[in-house]
Amino acid sequence: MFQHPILLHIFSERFGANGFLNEHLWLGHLGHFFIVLTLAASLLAALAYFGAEFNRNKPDETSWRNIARTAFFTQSAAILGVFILLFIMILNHWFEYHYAWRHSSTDLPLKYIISSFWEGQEGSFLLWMFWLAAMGCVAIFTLKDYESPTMAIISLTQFFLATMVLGVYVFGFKLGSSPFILLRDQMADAPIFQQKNYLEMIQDGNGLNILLQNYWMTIHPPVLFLGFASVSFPFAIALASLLRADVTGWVRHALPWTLFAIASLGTGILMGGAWAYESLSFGGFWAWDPVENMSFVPWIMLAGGLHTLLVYKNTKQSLVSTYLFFILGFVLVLYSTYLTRSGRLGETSVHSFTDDGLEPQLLAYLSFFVITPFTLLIIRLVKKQLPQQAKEEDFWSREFWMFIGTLVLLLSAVQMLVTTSIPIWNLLFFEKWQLLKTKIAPPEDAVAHYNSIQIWLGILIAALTAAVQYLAYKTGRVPATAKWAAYTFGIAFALSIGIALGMGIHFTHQYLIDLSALSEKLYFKFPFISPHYLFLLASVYAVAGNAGYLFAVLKNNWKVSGGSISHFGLGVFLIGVILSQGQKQVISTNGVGMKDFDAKERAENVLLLRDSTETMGEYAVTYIGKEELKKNTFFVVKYERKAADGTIKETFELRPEASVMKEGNLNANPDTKHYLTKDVFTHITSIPDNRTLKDSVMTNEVAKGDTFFAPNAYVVFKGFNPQPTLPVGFDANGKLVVGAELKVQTMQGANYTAMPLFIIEMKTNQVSTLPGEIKELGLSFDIANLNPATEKATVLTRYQEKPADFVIMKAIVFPYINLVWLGGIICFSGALLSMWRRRVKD
Amino acid sequence: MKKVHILLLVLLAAGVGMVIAMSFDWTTYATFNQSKERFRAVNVSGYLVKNKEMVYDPETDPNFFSFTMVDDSATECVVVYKGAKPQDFERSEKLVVKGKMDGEVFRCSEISMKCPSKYVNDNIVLKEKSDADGTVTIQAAP
Repeated sequence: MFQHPILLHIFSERFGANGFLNEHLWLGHLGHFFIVLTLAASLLAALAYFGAEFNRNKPDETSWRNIARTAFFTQSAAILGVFILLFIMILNHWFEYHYAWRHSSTDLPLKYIISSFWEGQEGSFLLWMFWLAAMGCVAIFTLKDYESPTMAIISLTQFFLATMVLGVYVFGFKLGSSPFILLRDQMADAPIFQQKNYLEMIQDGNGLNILLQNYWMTIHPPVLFLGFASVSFPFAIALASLLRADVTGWVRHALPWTLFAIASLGTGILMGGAWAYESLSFGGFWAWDPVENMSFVPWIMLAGGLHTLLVYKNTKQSLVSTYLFFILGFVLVLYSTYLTRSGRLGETSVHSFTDDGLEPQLLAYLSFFVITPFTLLIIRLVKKQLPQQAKEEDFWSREFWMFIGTLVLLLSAVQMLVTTSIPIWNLLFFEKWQLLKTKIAPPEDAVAHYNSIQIWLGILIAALTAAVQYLAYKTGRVPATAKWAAYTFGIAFALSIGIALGMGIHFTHQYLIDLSALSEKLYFKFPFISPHYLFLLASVYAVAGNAGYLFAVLKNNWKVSGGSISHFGLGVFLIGVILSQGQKQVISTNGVGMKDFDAKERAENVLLLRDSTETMGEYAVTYIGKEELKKNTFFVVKYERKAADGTIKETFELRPEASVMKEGNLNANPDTKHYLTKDVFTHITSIPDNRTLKDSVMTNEVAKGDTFFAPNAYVVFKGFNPQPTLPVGFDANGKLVVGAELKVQTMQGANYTAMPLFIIEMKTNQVSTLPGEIKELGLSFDIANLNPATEKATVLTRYQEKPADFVIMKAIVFPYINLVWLGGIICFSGALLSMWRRRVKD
Repeated sequence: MKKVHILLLVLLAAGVGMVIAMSFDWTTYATFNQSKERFRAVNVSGYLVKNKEMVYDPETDPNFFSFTMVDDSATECVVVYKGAKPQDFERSEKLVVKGKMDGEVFRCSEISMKCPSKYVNDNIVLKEKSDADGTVTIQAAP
């Protein structure tokens, strides 16, 4: 399917010899060279680091390591070179390169030119490699005794990533996809390339998808890929310790890297949420979209791994589960890469890459990184090289409950993984092995599906983060300070009742109990609201419990309070989630009754004609017009809040953007008014299609005084006028001109007149007509015939449909959504604080 | 038996129970005729019948859209969607609607459509030298 020739050799005859004008071929050649250099140097680094590891504490170790370091620094420099070259290509709009042409255009501002760097598959792989190289350089100087085995695995990962951007056919098998492919190679059959000066004829690049033209898209991908790359480190350190069969030395290295990965991946995911909230139609920051789920699952694994690692550090329990969490964390990053980039999610996700033919390669790496670590783990287990604690955890020990917490995290990950992987189950059980009779599909209501289980797991997690830290490791004796766990619970209980009553909270969610596969009678809905209240209570308890621990037990010793700060932030985040999502109010409901849940759910769109006003919640909302800016159309919607006495208390305008793309899809960018305690979110769901405007013609035979109808108006024929006002420059010589006086009154009561003319050439008796127009109404009248006997006229009314001007929009109020962002920031700051304390110093 | 073993058993039970409970939520693919016998929502895949009437009058009700669709077994059915009409619906190549039969109409809660070249958009727009406003689009070979 991909017939384009790939630049197989770097120094081809193409150095200007083929005669194409104005191409900058040096960039592609240099870029390919750097990619191949990255590939070779990272493989060398991996081999040399393995060499250093196998010669540990032998004289050769240093020289092996020096080779390895040089090779790693070389590949880091090379990847930086690729990075810079790709930027030069995009910044200069060198459209002879497919990547620049496909992902950018000349009218993009700088920040979006930067975003177009990572819009494509190749650019985002490069970003990943860039971070891996950068963090690898830090790790070389901080990993001390664990440098060789860890960096061997990191270099190997880098090698695999480099093959993804190689763009070479090996025995007819496509290995990677290069960002330096020329447009004329990618689309070799297009006739334009028969002209040597084809570059002068290309008008512009294809541009950046409008949904990605948001400032979050400049910053979210780099942070997310920083997170993806950082997940490699806890994995590599864990694998290194398995390789070495050393179960103690790795812990101090794994801790800071795990904390960093949690903070960076978490921030990346949260920024993705902010982007989705600002520029997608999700109506929230999270829609349980497969791609979101698949970046969240590795994060959960890391969070689990962090907690079992702490348990292991303090009690020597939970070693195997720690290994499992770190291995699974990394494997799931690869799996999510596979799902999003193989095109398998195409059916179920809004934002999935297309299939670039990389699936076999991705699958091969995935299997490699599944099989190798698990084999190693099994070998160590079989050889009994992983010590097992004989002593059991006490019921009242911290480690016992932390372990339970990680199991809850695991369950949460399993649910997301299983439903998100539905396309894979179809592939395996339906297409390959034919164990299923029919293909399965995601649930009818994905959000309800996930929430109905995750809410219970969330309640457990939130409560555990508050209470468990009051317990002590190992001893099993409950510390005296544990009474604070009870005190803060009391406070949380009172607080959450206060919040629920004070804010007038009522959760109207209903649960579906759907066992209709067994029997039709087992399908019922009921408003089952208690878990939402419990969730609120547990979240408030997470905040109160951790705050209490900070002040009462840690006595504001900031150095050791990273964990409590993180959990406090998690509590704030969860409160934000339940308030903004559980209490979100669609105010554009168009007055549909509240009784029927379905109707309320669906009838969320309101039509606003130009200059008409609808009441939405406490606002009077008016659509006042369009603003065109470059390619984008903004629809100006005015919000007015009035006091009871009619005085205007507040006015603001929102400019949601919507445009019909070349492909015909509506791309809409919402606009939001931010307050400290709530957001008013406005999103365009539909705009009129003015591409095909209809013309209609009506014929009426009328006598003097008759009335007939035209669209949105009625017309009175007042009679003939033998001496009508003639248009300027009309030559009336030798012609008989009769006008028909028409009085037009619109349904709104505006009056217009029109005078179509009927012209007879005296000599030849030739008849012609001149229509009378009313431009404002899009009406045009013409006299088709005059009947002198009956004094009747046949009037043709032509109506040209005016371009419709309205928006169909949705408006949602999200209360306290700022708590979501605030909680996330606190949570990840806590992780960074802990990382700093746990950094390896000696 | 250690506490950990009990815990892992509980985890296993909880996991299996959860996945079974989840699987009841999943939907399946069916034809219009098959969906009459199903109580739960199904996915029907098929094509838009372009010469049948399509109703969407946002000025009366912006949340009502109906069209006729033919499923993979060549059965035609009127589909009603409570929501705004997706942009450029007419151009869709393939449709998947998720919902239930209600009498003779299929009420769907979600429409997914595959449009021609939804992702791949490899048209090179050329500059027209003689004419300022005219642009020519050529389709490159796939």
